[in-house]
Amino acid sequence: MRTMEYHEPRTTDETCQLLARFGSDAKVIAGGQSLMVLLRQRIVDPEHLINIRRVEGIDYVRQNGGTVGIGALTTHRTIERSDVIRSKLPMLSDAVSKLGSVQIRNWGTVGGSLCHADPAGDLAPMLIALRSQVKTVSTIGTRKLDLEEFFKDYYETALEPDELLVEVDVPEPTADVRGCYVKNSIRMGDMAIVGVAVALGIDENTRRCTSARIVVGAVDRTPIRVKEIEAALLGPLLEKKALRDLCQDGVKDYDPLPDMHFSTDYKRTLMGVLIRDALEKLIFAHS
Amino acid sequence: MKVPLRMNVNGEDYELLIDPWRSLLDVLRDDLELTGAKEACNTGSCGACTVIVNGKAVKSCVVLALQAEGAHVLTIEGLADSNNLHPVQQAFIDEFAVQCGFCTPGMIMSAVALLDENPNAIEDEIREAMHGNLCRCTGYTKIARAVLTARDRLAVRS
Repeated sequence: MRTMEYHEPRTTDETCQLLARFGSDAKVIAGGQSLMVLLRQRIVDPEHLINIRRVEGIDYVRQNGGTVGIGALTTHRTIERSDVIRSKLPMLSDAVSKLGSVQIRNWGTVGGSLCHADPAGDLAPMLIALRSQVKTVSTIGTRKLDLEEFFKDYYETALEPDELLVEVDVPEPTADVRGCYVKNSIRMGDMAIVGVAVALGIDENTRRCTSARIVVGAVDRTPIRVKEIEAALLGPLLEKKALRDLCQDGVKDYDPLPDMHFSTDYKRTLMGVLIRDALEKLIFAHS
Repeated sequence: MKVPLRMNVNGEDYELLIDPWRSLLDVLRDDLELTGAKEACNTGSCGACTVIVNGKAVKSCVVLALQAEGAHVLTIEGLADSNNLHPVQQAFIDEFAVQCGFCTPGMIMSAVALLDENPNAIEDEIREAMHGNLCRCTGYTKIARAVLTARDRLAVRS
């Protein structure tokens, strides 16, 4: 006979108190677009279910000086349609529009997605490429963590059992930074086979690449940076052939985790191809 | 523990007492006997369970029923009025966009939500917005055509 206690806090304080009390016996549900499947199959079977969907004050997109703050309960759809995000972080609009389908984006939240930490998640790579941070709260205090340090393993984050993620902070990139998210999946809306987020700083006048961040999802237990290719991009912009060669060679030492459908070799090749696609798009096709 | 759930479904108020882990789909089908929304993949992948909650299309198999507390839920059963089918329903019939019919309620609900939000949607936008609904029978061509026909008929109305 399945049993479960249910809680519906209205504030982050209330939520933290519940988490302090129940810790790992509790599971927080936001949009539930990832969690519901696990909950219904009893893969996750908490004694306490904490529904935070009615917690006030963490559903927003705000500009704070040079940062865009996104509340943890903000739905993907809100982010997709936000004028602030479209103008200040267009590459994030790009990434979120490729997450799931409209129905999933209508209910799923950025906080839930990040805390679920699916290695193939579509938001984390772009948010990491943009040097985002996350803010957490608990009865003890608040923490601010670099998103790049937030993911520890498959479905495992740096979040303590008594902590609640409340905000994602994305520094506004400088005007020379452009970015895109390229994803390959079996059907549109499926989880990525490989997902590549790129943020490049390009000086059009000197035709130089001044910064590069390449973050790949679905090839390891967490999103990963491809630092060799990043470093090789800095300096004069590469021509198409050199770029192609760089992307092919730059992934040689990576061994993506295979899955039910795709081998390590396939994913490695695809990783090189998608990084190349993203770079070509940003360097040659950008308007 | 059983938890109270109050929601308005297709214009009628309901008050239920449910187990907290249940999905909106479970409650609609089993407690309210509204079996129009279908259970197919049960993982939020196929869209056969699509209903509209507070104006938004959602996959009810991955919505916690208790999150519909106080919400307005619209299912396929709530579209037609006493005299006529909803223009989207009628267009699906007129354009032969139904074969086995299993994906149809979800498709129609997605289309209704889409056209409410974007009454001038073009075919690319329709296909993009509805890619969360899978069909194994039709190949989608007639479904897209039906949504376009519904779009045009709704435009004439307003």
